Amino acid sequence: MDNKPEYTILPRGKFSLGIAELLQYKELIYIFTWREIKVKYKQTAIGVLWVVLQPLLMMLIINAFLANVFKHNITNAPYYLFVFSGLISWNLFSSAANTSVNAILTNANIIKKIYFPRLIIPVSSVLSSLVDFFISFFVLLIFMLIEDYHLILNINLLYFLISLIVIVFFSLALGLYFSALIVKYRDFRYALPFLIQLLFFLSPVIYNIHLPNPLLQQIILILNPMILGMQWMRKALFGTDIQIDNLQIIESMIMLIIYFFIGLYTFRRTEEYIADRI
Amino acid sequence: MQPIIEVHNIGKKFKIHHEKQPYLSVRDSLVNFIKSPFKNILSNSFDEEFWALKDVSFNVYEGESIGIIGKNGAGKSTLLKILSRITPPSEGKIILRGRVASLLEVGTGFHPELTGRENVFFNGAILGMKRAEIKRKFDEIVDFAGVEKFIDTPLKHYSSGMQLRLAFAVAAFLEAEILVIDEVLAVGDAEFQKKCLGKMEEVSKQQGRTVLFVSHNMGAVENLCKKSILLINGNIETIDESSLVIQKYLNFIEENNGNTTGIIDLKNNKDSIIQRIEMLCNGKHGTTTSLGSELEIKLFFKSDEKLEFPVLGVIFRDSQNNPIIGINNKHYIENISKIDINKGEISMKIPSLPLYAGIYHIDIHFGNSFIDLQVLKDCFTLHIDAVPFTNSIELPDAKLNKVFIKNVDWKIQSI
Repeated sequence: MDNKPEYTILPRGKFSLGIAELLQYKELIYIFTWREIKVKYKQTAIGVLWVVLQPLLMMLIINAFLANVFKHNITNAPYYLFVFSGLISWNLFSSAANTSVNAILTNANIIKKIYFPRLIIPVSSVLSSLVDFFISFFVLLIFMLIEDYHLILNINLLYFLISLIVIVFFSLALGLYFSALIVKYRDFRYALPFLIQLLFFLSPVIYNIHLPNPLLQQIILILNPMILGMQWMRKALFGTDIQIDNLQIIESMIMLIIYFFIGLYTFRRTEEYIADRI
Repeated sequence: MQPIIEVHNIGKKFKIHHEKQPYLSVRDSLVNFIKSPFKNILSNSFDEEFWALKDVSFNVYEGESIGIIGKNGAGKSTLLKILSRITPPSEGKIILRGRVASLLEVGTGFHPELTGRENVFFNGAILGMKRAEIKRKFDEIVDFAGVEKFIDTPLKHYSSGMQLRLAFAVAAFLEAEILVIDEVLAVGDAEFQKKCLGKMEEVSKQQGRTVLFVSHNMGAVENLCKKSILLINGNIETIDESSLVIQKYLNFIEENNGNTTGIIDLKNNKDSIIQRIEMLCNGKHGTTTSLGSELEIKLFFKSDEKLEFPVLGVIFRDSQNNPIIGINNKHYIENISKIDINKGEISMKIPSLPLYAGIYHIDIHFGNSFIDLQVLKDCFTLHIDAVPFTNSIELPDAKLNKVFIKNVDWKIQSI
């Protein structure tokens, strides 16, 4: 009997971030992600193409109507590539944050009947959005190849990776925070899409930021880590100058870490009681 | 030997908000705050505390199977939820020396759009099986469920019986050291229930695993579990050999006569879809009536998900627990689908109850047109007095009659 796991159940466990436990449940994370992807495209005729179609159409429309307004300070790539890369990165962020919040409600039945670390739900939602992202990223690569194959050869993987990390962690931070809130107040189900919409205009998705930044823009830059995420993404793909100085990068990253820990802390504190309240 | 489960002074407290809303919206909070700004400061006096469990302690040794019995609301399900780590206790401590697999519901997480195969993998994984383990047992699971032909068909094309069999089959092949089982057998037909019981017997007796089993089926508890725990109002009344505990429980029910008001209020139970059940005998709340009188049962429900077609099932059992009548509205009215309500009332009225004098137990099943969503066993105990129903003073023999026929045309004539 000594080799068997031993669990102690106490009224309120010592606070931990729950990362170690999450890793024990690797397989469950995998299978939740897998189910989410499967379910999303069952009974759809063109299935996974939807992932690509949506940013593609958006890109065509924006390119047709807004190109003249925004393209003046975009130098290293044609505007349509700039917009498409922005839209797919933005979709990664918004779908990851949105689905992880909704997943808490749609999986209420499972939460009420079976124990597993609840963190799995937002984490696997983010992972499934990441899969969608790579599908549309593949399409972006094809466009880049057609445009000029040098573009692909010059992709900077390091910046690509840190950009993804910023986007993923920021969406996870929002997802965790709002999932915790939504358990008590369903209002936040409607508040999050609104916030994301707001952030869309405050992030360089379809436009490029340009120096010198007025004070207000600098504050927004620090408060909204997506700006940094998008700039790094463009740096990685097209070698565009990020136009953000090192101090601002550090401040923005500190904000991201603060957001993430607030999200994780709030979620972990609510987690135990989710089954009672949901 | 160390016990595999140690439960020390477990208590679980629920706060009952008097607004009784399933969840709050910010607007409600603001409105409440504006209406009475000091309420939040004094809010504790507005919350009622309710202990679903109090000072519960017991030990379970490896290989034991323990039955947990008690009336609805005695705290059985709460105890199982705490043991399965779904909800934390408010006080006390539990030590578990082994993996716990909890079966509080069969088929948790089944998704209608996924195929049988995909659902087996997902369901197995959330119940704690490794993928390799599921792969190894996959054929056995499918075989036990008897759904080989349809294993790659989406679950939505399965009959409800097939879904249930598949769900139970996954659960039956779990390899956890501790199995926690709640009333799984309340669903499914008699044959399936027998199969489940057989499998559970195998798990506990032959494989020597530890089983905690909550059920209202006293026969099953006695058969499966050597020892049982009787819970009354959140406290442990007795822990002893199953037969003794069951006897004690039956005596307890007899003494308390179940519910005599004819009203069961479940509003304070957060998991309950059924909000309230009323029984009316000849138009008055109560549980005592006489031969051939009118009986009405009203059920009020509130559900998070919309119900296309709510179904109320009522089963009358005699004092030996044999079912006498089992009916639901599907037998009488057509499924005029898409009623789609979250909240409502469903009632049935029997103008002349065809049960002969005696004591009857009533089970209430509530569901949608496919499955039971909630089952309340022994909801009411109905007493039917043997009062003559016509001018005749003579009554039919109680030993011969379980069923009562009011309107019979008798003819006597000379030829």
